[in-house]
Amino acid sequence: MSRSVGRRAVLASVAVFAAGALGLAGCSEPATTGSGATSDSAAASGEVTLYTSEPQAKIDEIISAFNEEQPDIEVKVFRAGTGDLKARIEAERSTGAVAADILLAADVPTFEQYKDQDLFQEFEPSEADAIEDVAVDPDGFYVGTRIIPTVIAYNTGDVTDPPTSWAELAEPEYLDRIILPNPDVSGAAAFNAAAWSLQPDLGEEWINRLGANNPQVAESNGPVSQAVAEGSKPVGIVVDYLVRDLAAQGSPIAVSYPSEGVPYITQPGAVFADAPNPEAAKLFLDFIVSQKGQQIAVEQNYLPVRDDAGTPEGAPALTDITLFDQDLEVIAASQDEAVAAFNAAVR
Amino acid sequence: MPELVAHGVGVRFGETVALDNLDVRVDSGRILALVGPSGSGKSTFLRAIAGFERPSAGTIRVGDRTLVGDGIHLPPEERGLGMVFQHHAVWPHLSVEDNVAYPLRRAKVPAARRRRLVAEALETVELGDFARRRPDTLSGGQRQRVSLARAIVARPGVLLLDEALSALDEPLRASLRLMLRRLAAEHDLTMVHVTHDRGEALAIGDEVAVLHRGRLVQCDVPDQLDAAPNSAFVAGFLHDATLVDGTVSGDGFRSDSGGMTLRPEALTGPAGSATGPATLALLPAGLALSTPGAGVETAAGSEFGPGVGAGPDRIGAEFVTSLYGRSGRTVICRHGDIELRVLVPTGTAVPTRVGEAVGIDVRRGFVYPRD
Amino acid sequence: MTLPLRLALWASLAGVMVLPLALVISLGLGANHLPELIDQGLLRATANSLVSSLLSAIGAVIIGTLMAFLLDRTDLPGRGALRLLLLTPLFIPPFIGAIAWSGLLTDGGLVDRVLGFSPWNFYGGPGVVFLLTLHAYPMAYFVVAAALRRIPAELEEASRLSGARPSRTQVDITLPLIRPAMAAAFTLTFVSGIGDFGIPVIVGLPAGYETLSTMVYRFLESGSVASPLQTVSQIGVVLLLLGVLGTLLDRQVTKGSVEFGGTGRPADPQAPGRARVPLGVIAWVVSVVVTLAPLVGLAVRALLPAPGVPLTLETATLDNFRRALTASTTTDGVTNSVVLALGAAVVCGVLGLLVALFTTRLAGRDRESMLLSVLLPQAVPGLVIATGWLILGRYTGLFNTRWVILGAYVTAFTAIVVQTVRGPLAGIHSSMEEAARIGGAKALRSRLDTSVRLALPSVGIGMIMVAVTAVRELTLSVLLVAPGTQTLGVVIFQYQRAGDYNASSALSVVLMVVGLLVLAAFGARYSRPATGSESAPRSIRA
Repeated sequence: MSRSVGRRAVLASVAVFAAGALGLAGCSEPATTGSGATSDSAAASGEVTLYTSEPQAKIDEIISAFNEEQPDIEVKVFRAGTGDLKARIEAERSTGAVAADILLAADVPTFEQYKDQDLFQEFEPSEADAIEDVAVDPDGFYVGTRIIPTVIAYNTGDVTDPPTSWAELAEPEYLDRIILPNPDVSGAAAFNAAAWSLQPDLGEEWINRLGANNPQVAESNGPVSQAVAEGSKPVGIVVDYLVRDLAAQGSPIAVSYPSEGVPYITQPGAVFADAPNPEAAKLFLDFIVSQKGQQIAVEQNYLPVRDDAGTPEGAPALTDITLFDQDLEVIAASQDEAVAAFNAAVR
Repeated sequence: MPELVAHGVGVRFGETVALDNLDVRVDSGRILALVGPSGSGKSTFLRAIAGFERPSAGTIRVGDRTLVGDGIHLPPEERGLGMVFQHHAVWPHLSVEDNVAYPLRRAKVPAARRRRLVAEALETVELGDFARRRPDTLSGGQRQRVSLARAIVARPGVLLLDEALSALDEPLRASLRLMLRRLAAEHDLTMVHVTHDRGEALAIGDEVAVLHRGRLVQCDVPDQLDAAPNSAFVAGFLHDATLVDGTVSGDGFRSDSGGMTLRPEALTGPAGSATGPATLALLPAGLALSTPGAGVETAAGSEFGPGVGAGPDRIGAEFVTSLYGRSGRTVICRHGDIELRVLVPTGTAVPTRVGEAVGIDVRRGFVYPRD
Repeated sequence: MTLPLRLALWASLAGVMVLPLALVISLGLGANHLPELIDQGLLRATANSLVSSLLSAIGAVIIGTLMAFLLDRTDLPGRGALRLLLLTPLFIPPFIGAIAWSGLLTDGGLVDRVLGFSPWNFYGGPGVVFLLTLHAYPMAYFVVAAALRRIPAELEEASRLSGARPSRTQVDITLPLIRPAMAAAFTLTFVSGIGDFGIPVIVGLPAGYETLSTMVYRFLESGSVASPLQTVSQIGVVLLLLGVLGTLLDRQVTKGSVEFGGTGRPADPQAPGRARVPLGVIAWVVSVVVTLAPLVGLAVRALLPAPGVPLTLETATLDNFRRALTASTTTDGVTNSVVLALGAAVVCGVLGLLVALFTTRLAGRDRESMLLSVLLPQAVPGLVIATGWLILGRYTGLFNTRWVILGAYVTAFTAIVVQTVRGPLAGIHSSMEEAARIGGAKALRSRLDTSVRLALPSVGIGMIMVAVTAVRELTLSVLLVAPGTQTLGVVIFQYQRAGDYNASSALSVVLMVVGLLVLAAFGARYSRPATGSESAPRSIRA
């Protein structure tokens, strides 16, 4: 072991150390809590932090299109399931302020709750009149960005006679053949649990009979659509756009709209009260519900919240779909209980 | 106890020849000591007898049982031998008693007889009270004795010892050497003892076999090896003889450098009466110091021949140092660039000053043909 | 001269090793959420964690021991290649293995589509046990093989000469001597099984198979409990207890381990005799399946344009690769993971070397406690370490930064360096340093010049192992990531959780291929069982 080898090793370690330290320091930290960062209040620039449950690829597309109109606004995205997002927000609130500007998630009751807790600031989209009524918050704090019904999906290879009603899924022939998302993780699934329980011809009884068919519980809507497309379960309860996404790529999966109607959510977006960059945040939300933004939504297989953006390929027009009559306040109030009952029945 | 006969044993490792045509016979109750420099093949031979190396040629028989040969190669567990290793190989997870009893268990000896045999074996190695002890509480020497007890408990045909004493301190080695010789005599055990220690080989062996590069160079009783080493190698290896190259003629020996001449009367050995190139081996026991102060003046390298000063075959040299030994003092001198060792009886006066002039008388020099 | 250094070292250790765990314990014991937890299935989850870890540990030790005997004690032809193939699970992070195998064996998976039926519904307990065992047996093999190698040949030769056939010798002599190693391998895999997160979440949850680690994740991420941190800390305490219990058991069993005398010459390979052909065949089949199956499972899904579409030459597409590799979160993830891995390697290297130095070569009464504090995190499941840093992060404002993740890595992985370096350092004879002292060097200098220099290659190896482990891990960072600080493992995991199996498979394929290339590059080095100095990592966190 010569001295020179030792020295080289020491030099190498020092070099690595320096590189590592520089690397760590050089990577700019994202906006942390207690934002001391005073962003320049010039409206068309700066950084916007977005918490969303929107699939990564789709939100990336929206941001790219947004940046064509607003090149100086950088949108940083944290994508997670609705449950994850809520947990993060809770954690940040308990130790300081929420670190994000915008929340965009498929969980209206949560938005209602945060609205009541003064977590949001007022926001009215600049084109509010062009937007469907069901999508606009009467109190002026959030706006729905898509109409997302939950439908029945089936594998076209395995199923020749698809179910056409919710009631049919409770029949014994569907034992062990259904897969659905976990209401603890998916905001839409939680909402639906409440919506179904309040629906007159379905209710708790239907939920229990559905549970008796031993459905498999996947973590969220994504795995449900995957499972049905791959054929591991022939029938699934899932949000409609995912089915269209996969069908467009060639998967053997199709939608069946139940006769009783469908529960739906609107995927609201709102600006946090303590948002570091509210001006830019509002611009971004405006873009999402603009005609351009909604056209992108349609291309991404969503049902839009305005009637001048078209409709996704293969989907019926919004007017042709029977939507549940949903009282958001009642649903919000009863959601926790409904989820517990759902879990008890299904798991 | 049967005798061990190995005939024409050869072992190859790929291209390398580890053993070449070895012929060895050990009679019952006798100890054969195998000695040689590292790589000479002595351990290989032992392992071939044990069954851990496969000879490529030759036969090995114990009594009328063939271990190797005629298409037979018995696995170690069927050879009925005992072996003691350099590093005891006492199993740490078994007690002393269980260690020693193991071969008997394998031979399905019933419990009562087993216990008796184990007790006897432990008594033999003077570990009678140690039956219940665990190996990690024993000293190195004690563990080696456990290993010995285990090796003899099943009355093996032959006992193999692979450098068995080499890892022990000197006093312990001496006492174990004694124990082994007693064992051989009292229990009529045939033993093969491999060692790199020449003194030990000569002390313990009834016969000593010297190996060099896989070949058996000389096998004889120790006295004969002393009196008549059969090659320059044996003389050098066993006795630390100084080897000098030169020529033998009717006038005696003359070294190649010319600085040393000896009369034919002082010469013995295989090339003693022949003519031609030869190697002279000067054993320490065959040299003597001439009386100091006998008027011998010399500078290193000058010529001294017969007739000058007192004594017929005298070499002039300079004193370097001397080492005390139990069988005599070894005086080391230089003649030119040749180092000479002279064994003088204890008590003889020896030079003390480095460089002091001495005369060395050659009483007996062995000459061997040089090839 | 050494005192300030020693104090600084202790301060760092206290902050990094002890503090996070102490926070978990104190928070967990703070309030009583047990009734609520039990309502939510704590007992069942604990039972599942225990059972799956026990079964996988037993399986891993059996397979690892068989492997050690087959590969290192017989002359089966092609042993070297066989060993490399059988070790591939070591180079695949467990959660990716879960993604891969679930793509193969579940209903609708590859086997289902090819054979028309699924031989085994993979989701659930059995799948979890299978995957845990699969990813644990290589480590068990390393531990047992190292012990096998240390048995001097004479011990077995003496047995042969005493009349015992080779098989008898294995049972009477060899097995008892490797029993402590087998026990050590057992606790190692048990502890890492309890703490594993990726496998139960990906394979267990879809069938409702809940373990303690999935519970932790669920509570933290679903926000459905009132005080998630506290509740999770209580689960963390349970996990910690199980882990420490396992380690104590290990110490108890290895207490009986023995010193071997002997030349250290390892035994010669034996011919397995009649069993040679069937053994060889089984070994080759298993090794090929274990290496190729996950790769195939991932590749198929990665090349599909959409789920459910049959894979043919026309439908195969590289789109998923393009999409996943160019997504900004992926590039973020790769950058973060690489930077964090390098940073962790450096910090662990320095810290580990200092600890090794102080505990082997410098006198002091704090040796045992220092060593314990560094090695303790190995007994702690990764999720608990992450929870500790989560709490620490919230209190110190480090939350949402990369530093908490780095901290968690340092806590979890320093032990790797310590264990890689301790052996060589301890083995250096004190005469080396004494020679330097006599030559005129002061105390610390003499050590730096001799022992530390001699140990530097081991430090390098330790650092590489830390980096390689950290760059692909999931368990530690999944609770700690924030916008912009996601790691590669979390990126892949999130694709999988979102149901985008094509993307997660594409990224997994890339990760696996890189890992296998690394294996091939270091193949020669790892193709022989570990000696004492180049010992394999003692934790399988990923």
